[in-house]
Amino acid sequence: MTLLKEQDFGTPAVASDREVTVNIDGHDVTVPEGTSIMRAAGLAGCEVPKLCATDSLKAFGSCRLCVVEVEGRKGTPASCTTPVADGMVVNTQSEKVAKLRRGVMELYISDHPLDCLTCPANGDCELQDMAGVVGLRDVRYGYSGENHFDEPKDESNPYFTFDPTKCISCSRCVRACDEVQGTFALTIAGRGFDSKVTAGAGESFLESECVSCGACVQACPTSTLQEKSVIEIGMPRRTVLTTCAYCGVGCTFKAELAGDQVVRMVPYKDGGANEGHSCVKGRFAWGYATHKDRITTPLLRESITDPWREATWEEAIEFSARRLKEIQAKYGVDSIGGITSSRCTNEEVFVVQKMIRTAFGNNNVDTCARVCHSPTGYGLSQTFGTSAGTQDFVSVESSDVILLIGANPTAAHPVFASRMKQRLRQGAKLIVIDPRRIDLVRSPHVQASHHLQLQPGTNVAVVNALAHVVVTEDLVDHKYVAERCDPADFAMWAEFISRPENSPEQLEAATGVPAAEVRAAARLFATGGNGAIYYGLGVTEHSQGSTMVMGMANLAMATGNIGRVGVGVNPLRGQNNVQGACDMGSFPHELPGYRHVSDDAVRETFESIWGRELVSEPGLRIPNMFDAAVAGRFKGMFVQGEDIAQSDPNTSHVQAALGSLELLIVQDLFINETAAFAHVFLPGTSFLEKDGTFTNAERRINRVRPVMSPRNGKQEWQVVSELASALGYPMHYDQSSQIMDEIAALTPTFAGVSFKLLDELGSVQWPCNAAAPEGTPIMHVNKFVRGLGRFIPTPYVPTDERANRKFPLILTTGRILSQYNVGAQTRRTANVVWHSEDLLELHPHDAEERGIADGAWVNIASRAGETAMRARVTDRLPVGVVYTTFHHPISGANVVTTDNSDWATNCPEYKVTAVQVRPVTAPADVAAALSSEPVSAGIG
Amino acid sequence: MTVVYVPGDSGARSVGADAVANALVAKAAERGLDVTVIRNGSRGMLWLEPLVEVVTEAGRVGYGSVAAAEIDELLAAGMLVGAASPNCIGIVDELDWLTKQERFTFARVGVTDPLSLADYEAHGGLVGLRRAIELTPTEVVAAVLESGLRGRGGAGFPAGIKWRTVLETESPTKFVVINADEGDSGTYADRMLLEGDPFLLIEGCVIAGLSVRAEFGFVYIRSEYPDAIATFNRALDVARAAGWLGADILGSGRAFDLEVRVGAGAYICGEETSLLESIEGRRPVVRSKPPLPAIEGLFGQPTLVNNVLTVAAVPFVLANGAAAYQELGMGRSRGTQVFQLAGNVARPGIVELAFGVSVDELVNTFGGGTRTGRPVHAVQVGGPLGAYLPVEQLSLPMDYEALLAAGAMLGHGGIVVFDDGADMWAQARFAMSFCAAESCGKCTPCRIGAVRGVEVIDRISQGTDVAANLVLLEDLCELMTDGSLCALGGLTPLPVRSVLRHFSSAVPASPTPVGPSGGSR
Amino acid sequence: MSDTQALVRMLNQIAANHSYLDAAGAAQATAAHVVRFWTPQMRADLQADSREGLSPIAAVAADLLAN
Repeated sequence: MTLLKEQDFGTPAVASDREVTVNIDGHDVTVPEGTSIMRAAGLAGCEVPKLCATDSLKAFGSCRLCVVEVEGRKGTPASCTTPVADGMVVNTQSEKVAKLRRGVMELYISDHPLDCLTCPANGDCELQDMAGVVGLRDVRYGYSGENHFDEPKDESNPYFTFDPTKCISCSRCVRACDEVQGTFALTIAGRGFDSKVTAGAGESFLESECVSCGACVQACPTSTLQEKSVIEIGMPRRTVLTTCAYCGVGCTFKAELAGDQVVRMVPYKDGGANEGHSCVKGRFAWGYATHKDRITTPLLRESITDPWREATWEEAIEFSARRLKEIQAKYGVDSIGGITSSRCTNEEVFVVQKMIRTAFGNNNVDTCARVCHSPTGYGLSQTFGTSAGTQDFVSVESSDVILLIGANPTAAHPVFASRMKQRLRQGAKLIVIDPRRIDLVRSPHVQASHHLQLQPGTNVAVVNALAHVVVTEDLVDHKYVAERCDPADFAMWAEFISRPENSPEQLEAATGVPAAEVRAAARLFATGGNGAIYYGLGVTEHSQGSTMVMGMANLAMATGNIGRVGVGVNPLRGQNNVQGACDMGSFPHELPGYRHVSDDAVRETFESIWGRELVSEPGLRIPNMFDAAVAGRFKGMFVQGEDIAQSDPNTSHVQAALGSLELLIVQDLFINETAAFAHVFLPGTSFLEKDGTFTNAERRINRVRPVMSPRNGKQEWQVVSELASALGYPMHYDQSSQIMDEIAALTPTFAGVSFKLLDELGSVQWPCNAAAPEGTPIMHVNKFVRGLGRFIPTPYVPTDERANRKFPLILTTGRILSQYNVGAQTRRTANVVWHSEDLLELHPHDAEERGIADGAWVNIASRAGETAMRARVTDRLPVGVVYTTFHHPISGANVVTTDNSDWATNCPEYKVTAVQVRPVTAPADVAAALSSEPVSAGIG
Repeated sequence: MTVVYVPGDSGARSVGADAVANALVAKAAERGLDVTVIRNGSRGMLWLEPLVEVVTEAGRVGYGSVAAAEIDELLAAGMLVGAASPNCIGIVDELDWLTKQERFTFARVGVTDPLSLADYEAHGGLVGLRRAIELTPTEVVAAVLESGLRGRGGAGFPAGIKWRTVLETESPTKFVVINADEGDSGTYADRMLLEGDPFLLIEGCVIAGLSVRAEFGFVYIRSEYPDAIATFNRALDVARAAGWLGADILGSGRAFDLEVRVGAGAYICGEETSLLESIEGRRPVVRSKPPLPAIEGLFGQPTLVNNVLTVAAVPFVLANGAAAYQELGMGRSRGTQVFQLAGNVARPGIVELAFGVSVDELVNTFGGGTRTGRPVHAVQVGGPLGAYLPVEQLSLPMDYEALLAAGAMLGHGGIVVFDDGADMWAQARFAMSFCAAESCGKCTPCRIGAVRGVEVIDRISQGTDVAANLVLLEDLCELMTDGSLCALGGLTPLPVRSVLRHFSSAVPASPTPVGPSGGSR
Repeated sequence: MSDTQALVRMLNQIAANHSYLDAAGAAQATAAHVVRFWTPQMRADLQADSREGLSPIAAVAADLLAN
């Protein structure tokens, strides 16, 4: 039971073709040219005392503690800012530097409160450590000189405190906010002895631009910036390495614990996806796991109008199994199905789809990817042969031109956004395609070269226009295309895309993007070096979502931007394990590993290991499940960890479908909108209790390790195994590693994966098998997975959803940083201080036309329904477009969204809904609009 | 028609030169006298300002310390024909003060109309630039190297080596940056040059730009010099209009342009990396080196940062050849330095001479000793971070190495004189409090050390634990010297230690004089 | 929207997105997509419905699926 502390080498690692050898305190060490003396000393095992240096930040040279002596050179240079030279001989421990270090510490301590024993950083304070290391024995200046002991604390942020009396002006917090996070919210005000760390322009942390990522807290060597949880609880004593359960970045965290209680979550420096950084959610918003709303006992009721009653696990399992069998007997084998969670582990998801295929006896299994990235799966498998992103996150460090489409990473994938911003600050160019002026268009030291501010619903037109320019201006990488792509497909596509109707000029009217901008952007992408495409739900959640994915793939292939570092087509997958859920065969038409159920050979492998005959026809997708339910043919459902009543579009339709079920089983943490329609509630586990794996947007499989035993008494996969057994298909595992072993045995792309391998390597990106025993960071390196890359023509078919006289505005949706998805987790943490309600953003022109003031209540209506929320007037949007988030059930954003969807995958067209907005003046209007009070309102 | 020069230099204006000029115009008109008043720079004989010079056949006759109220009387007495009067000092150019100098850089200051291009060229201006255009960049840099010119800001680094480094660092964008932050107390040469002969600096900058292949330059002038800023900006306009600044220098097809950037009251911006931070719009804290600004400077590009006087010396070198500069001086200090006499001195002003002249000659022969007439007690050379020289050290020659060896510093050439009424212990305290006031705050020895330095000195003044505190003060001086990030913290101990060593009687209740190796460690 | 109306809409949408192919090719591709992704029940429902509301390509695809 120990606390894991990574060694801090003081300055970042440097890459170089040349190596130099230096001698430090008698030890020889060979390092890349450009490495600092400090880092080389750390690598040689002779750590040099330091305070202002830390290896996630560039050297600064402020504390002057790390001075050393170099043979043949005058003076005592700082080892952090001095690079090594071949043959250099360094003495880090001479009497001269020892005296200087004591002198420096003596100055520091003369202006520092002497309350070490009651200070929250006691035991984790670098100032304390250094005073000890340099042998400080007395402070001859005394303690009655000028000092900073009267500075007031700033406790405005819900998660950490800023106490300037402990500050040593090392600027690590400011530098972390600049270099790591890229928000530039902190500065030093004043100069000299009056230097003071300041947020914003002198505001409190909460009021400033601070996004509460905690990088400054982590960087602070003293108690100046300190987690409130540490202040309250005390120092943690042991570490469990696990993975965040929020977004598709999949940050690795050190859960630092006192017993089973989480004291704090600290990002792990060796985390493959995050390398020591995190966002406000992963680092601070984990309190929901022990929230009072957690259900820990199974609940049952005969009818959804009855109140819930507590039951034992045996009762709940027996009830569920019996009712499912009854329904199948009455309505047929296809009348039941299930949805897997994209938040649960691979192992938990695998057993659910296995249960459905074996115990239910059909392929009616689907997952939330249906409503987010299913077009990615379709589009990329058609063109490249894999249903996943092609790169790892580090790849962006080598990108020269970044094309960001329909994604807002600073809100939704903040840690990756910080990495992208680092690259942009180094000079890479950015092209943003989004109706909204997202933060990245212009933020500190980052400015997009082009913002193609298109009308919602015209993505394919824009990508076609870009490709048209590439082909007709002869910017195609012909060598690449000839080597790597199918020539007949390319010829057909080139002819198609060259047609005048695909030109920027002819499409300008539809898209709203000036042709000159499109041409400039296309030329930049095609000729600017390594071109990388990053995209999100603004691409997929459209009636041509799959088409757009193929359009981007075409563009990437035409410009030779697949198959090496720095390029690629990168879907920013939303959920922590949506990639994994897809990999695990949660689709009605695919077995684990993306193989169609009609593939006899593959099906037979599964049948032989599972011991059951499996159905060879596709099953129902979620929207089809709802349609079938309303038609009276789908009557029973198992929903694992997904709140479809809040997150799926066209709420009235979803409610009608769920209301018509004869049995709905929900496995989740909290009672939610979906549970309102459930007959059985099976309590689930939070990520702090799970023992399994998540797969992030990089195809990286990360371990999720339990810090406490399940509060509900069972692992989720145990519950599902018991249900399957009760249904007549015996399923049993002793531990979750066995489930992964079964996955590996059945899935060629996972063949080499095991918990043991993950413990050794930390994480691994699939494919991981004999051909790639340590995983595959970059895909399609020498050839595409399908062999030759396939160009597929992408005709622009405008959506049916158009603005008209009755509904003259287009609503599009998105998310913000502090809240996550439907808010089930984040609304139960202090994050509500940032976003306590969803707001409707609209342009000043549209607002003025309607007499809507900032902050006023408005009604939003579409042909599907209406709801109300408060307005925010902003010029981020073009005229005619409005925008909201969907984190709070009371907002009912999906009451308004329609049943339009992607032609290939039925991914809902969340991003385009024709609406009308009008001010709501009387309270009665508000009440009417909010007539169906959601079950979980008022929580948080 | 008589031409009369009345300086427009801000120093002269501060003692009434504007009123004098106005009175002259008015009274001459009343008297029906045909007079043209030209506002020149200052001759650098500050005890004579406002110094009115009348152009006569015999030469320019000077009238010193003229008051506006005296103008009428002076006119009546025949000032316009150089008549004698109590103010009259004779032919200015024949004064010992000037004839004994070697004014290479300050040749035109006070002589010409600073904004008259005709005057400039008539007095040798643009010869250097025209020569530089004929040479390759490498050849120009070689000339600068050969001249032995060293940075006049205070560091004394060989200018030619810096120029060569910038030239040899490949980059499509490079910059020239002129440090006109002149923050040292007692210095004013940069200001006088900017106001008195701005074209010289511009010419030097263009030569610099062409020879290091920079197309753009910034002149960073401290905010406390509004006249210099205004005058220099007007000079830029004149130079651009005349075609030797801008897109096509004198028809050479090569481009170079300059822009003024104004400081905002921080002494630390005289340190080159802080200065660059300031131009970039950031807080001016000191950058660590490496990288050197010559390789990675302004906005990350190779940047030549030089003091005003350094670059202003270059046209002479190009016009007259490197040898003409190099043959003057002593040791490794070649060429001339522009010394500035200030403080309690009878004749404050500009003395430009070859290196090697002694402090004594400057203070006593040129400066005439103290203004009060009391004995000279201490001379601070090199600004507020320079050592205080006792009388015994006044024989030291003005030479970078000689002063360094004596525990002193030449710096930017400022010389401040104190008589025996000076409280040297208060001066030692001033060094620390100055550092505390101007510290950028980045490094610990300076940020906290300077504040503690003042406190320790105060405790010694109060008689508290004197012996222990003197040891602590010496330890603090060592820490600041060896541990500071830049010369502000690094040199603050210099004046303090010079007081401890050479003015021990001023140190309160000092046990024995603390010599260089004295005191416990 | 009724069940079959939804199917008709989906089939028309799939057909429209294959407009870059010739009529026969587009119909074939549409039919192949349906076989790959629709449940047998959905395909049966489509056949049970009249061809009303189907676009020309979609109608050909529906015929292909009948076999």
